[in-house]
Amino acid sequence: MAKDYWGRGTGFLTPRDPDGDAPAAERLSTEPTARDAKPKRSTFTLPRLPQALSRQKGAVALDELKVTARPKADAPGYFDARDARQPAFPELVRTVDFGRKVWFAVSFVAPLVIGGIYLFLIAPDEYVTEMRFSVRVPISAHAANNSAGAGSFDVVYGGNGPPTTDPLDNFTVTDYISSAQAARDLDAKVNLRAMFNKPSDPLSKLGEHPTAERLGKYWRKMVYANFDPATGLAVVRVNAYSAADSFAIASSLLSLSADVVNSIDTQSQQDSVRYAQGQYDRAVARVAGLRAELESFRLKSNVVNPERAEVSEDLQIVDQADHLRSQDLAQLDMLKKQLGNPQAPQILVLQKQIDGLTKQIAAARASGGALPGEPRMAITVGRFEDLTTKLNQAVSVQSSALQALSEEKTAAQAQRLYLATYVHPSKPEAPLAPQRWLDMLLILVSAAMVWVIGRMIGNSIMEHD
Amino acid sequence: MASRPGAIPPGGARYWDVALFNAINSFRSIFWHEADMHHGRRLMMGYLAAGAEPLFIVLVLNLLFTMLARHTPYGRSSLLFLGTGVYPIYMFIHTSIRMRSPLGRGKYRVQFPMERPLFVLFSNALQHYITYMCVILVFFGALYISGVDDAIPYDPVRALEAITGVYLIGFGAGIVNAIFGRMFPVWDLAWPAISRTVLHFSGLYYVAAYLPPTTRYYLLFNPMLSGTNWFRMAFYPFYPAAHSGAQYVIFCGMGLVTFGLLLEANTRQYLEAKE
Repeated sequence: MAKDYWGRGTGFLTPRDPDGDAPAAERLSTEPTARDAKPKRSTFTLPRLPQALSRQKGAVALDELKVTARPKADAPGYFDARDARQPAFPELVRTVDFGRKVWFAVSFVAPLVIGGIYLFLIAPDEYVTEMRFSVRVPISAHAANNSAGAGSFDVVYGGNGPPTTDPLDNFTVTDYISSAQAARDLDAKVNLRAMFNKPSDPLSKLGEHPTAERLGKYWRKMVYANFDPATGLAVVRVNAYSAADSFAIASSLLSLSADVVNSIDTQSQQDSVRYAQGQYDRAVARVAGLRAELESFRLKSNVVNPERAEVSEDLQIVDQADHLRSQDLAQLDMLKKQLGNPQAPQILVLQKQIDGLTKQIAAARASGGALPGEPRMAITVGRFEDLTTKLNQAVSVQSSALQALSEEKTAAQAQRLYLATYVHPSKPEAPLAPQRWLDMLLILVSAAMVWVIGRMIGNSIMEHD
Repeated sequence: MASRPGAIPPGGARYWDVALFNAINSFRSIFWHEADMHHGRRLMMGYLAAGAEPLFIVLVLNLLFTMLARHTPYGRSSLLFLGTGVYPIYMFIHTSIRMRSPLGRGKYRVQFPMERPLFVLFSNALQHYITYMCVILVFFGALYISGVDDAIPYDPVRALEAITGVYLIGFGAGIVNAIFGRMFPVWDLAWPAISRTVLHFSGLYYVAAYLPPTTRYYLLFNPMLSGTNWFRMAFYPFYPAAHSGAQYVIFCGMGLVTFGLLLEANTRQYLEAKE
């Protein structure tokens, strides 16, 4: 029997008996076997080259080569490799090939099959309702806010400038729309939980008895809200599992967004009015306090108004009486010296006159006036002037506060912000999601990338055995 | 199945456990060898040098903004805004440049047969990733210590994801660059200059959402802009970045890595023969 260098049967060149005793051609002609009944085209594997040769760079792994031949039993030199009694290779484990197949199945085929089954057979249709809006400031409010300068569009808008968007409030509304609070508000209004539990697909549905956190997270997956600061416009897209649900959710969401805008507006207005009212109340209390203090002072000092004419006249009278008394006193002193009799009729008359003047002055002083040059009068006038000045200031402040309050109340009656919806929600007629073919393409490309990268890494690892 | 790792399998069969054992050993030795070469004792300032350029760019831009009496368009700290732009972009630039080293021209001649090119590449990539993460941690940590409270990310996991996504793009671009550089030597000179133009198109000193819609539409084809936005969203909870997507960054990164690996595998013999 022909054997190769390694002592194994060379196989296909020389016919040989499986046992190495009789020529194969002879056996074929006398002992028909089961292989004669097999189809004419058969496949057999070429014998292996030694490992050292097959590992050379660029060498083809011969154990993987399949050769198809048309057997001709009567042809000279015909040989079927299955007849060769080659040494068995029980320890030969084709782990590399098997591993590659497994990796291909896991990383490429499985995602495609699973993804395809899920997308085309299980995933429910999703209807998308879109709306677009902007939170605007009316022309009058804008004009009031920007009275200092006029923009290039002012001519178009009658000199008031264009109505502008309010970026902060726009951000507030779009942030609210994608928040868990919006999900809770909508759930109370349109029963969001029931709508999101309609599909039978457990991966798509919200789930029975979801928590508020779960609802909020799920809601963020189903809604897209974005405000574009460059254009001042906001877009909202709502996904749901039926056209009616999608439309209902979007409509309610629009209403809730308008409520948010109004609440922002109302709250700020209420704050302004409350502040102005507080200012006015404080001014009124201050005026009332000062008036009470002035009244108390008047009662205490018996002076209505030290600057008034009657008071001045009283003071003149006191002044004249004092002057007369001084003259009488001087005359009395002179008469006492000249006459030398204190009981002289002239002296007694003069003394009575002086007593009368003294009583008159005392009476005038008791009625609230004071003698000229006395500090009490100066204090009274100063205190009176101080109270009067404070009262005048308080009245002025009260007047300003009243005007501010009036303006705030007027402003509160007008709307400062409003939600300008220029694309209203409309009931969708066909589902827009999932985009099955596009998703399949993405799965295909992603799976291919994972497969290639894994294969490369696997090859590098297997080069180390 | 081999009874112990490293045993010679009967019949010369290939065993995955032996291969894996050897591969891990090989990877480990390559990693430490490369670390020693690039950032260790033989290059004392290696780790510092990795972070010097982005730091310099941040400081210069901050100085420029200060001199022009301007403030960055978002956030309270200019340094933080610039840092959240510069570091991801430089993660991409440096990765795409440094990944050329393990696949460089004639590199295979100085490597042991056990040091397979892909393992050299991955060890370099891992090493560069760790180095750059340290650089980023040092910068933002220093910023926090200096009083910028926002320097600690609002969402640290998102920050890590974003920087890893950006790194993936840089890694893929680096492999492609390495091969292109060996095929067309002028590419090695051109790429560092080309890559630095990314600085101006990736939202370093502006917010993409504030740009006119048409400009923004074209700029958002640049995955690095999405990467920067993604990274900033980890620091600023309300950063306007709805137009950019993390999926796009990952997809571009994966695509570049796949293309790069395929390119490397299919041109390996050709390039080695050519060189």
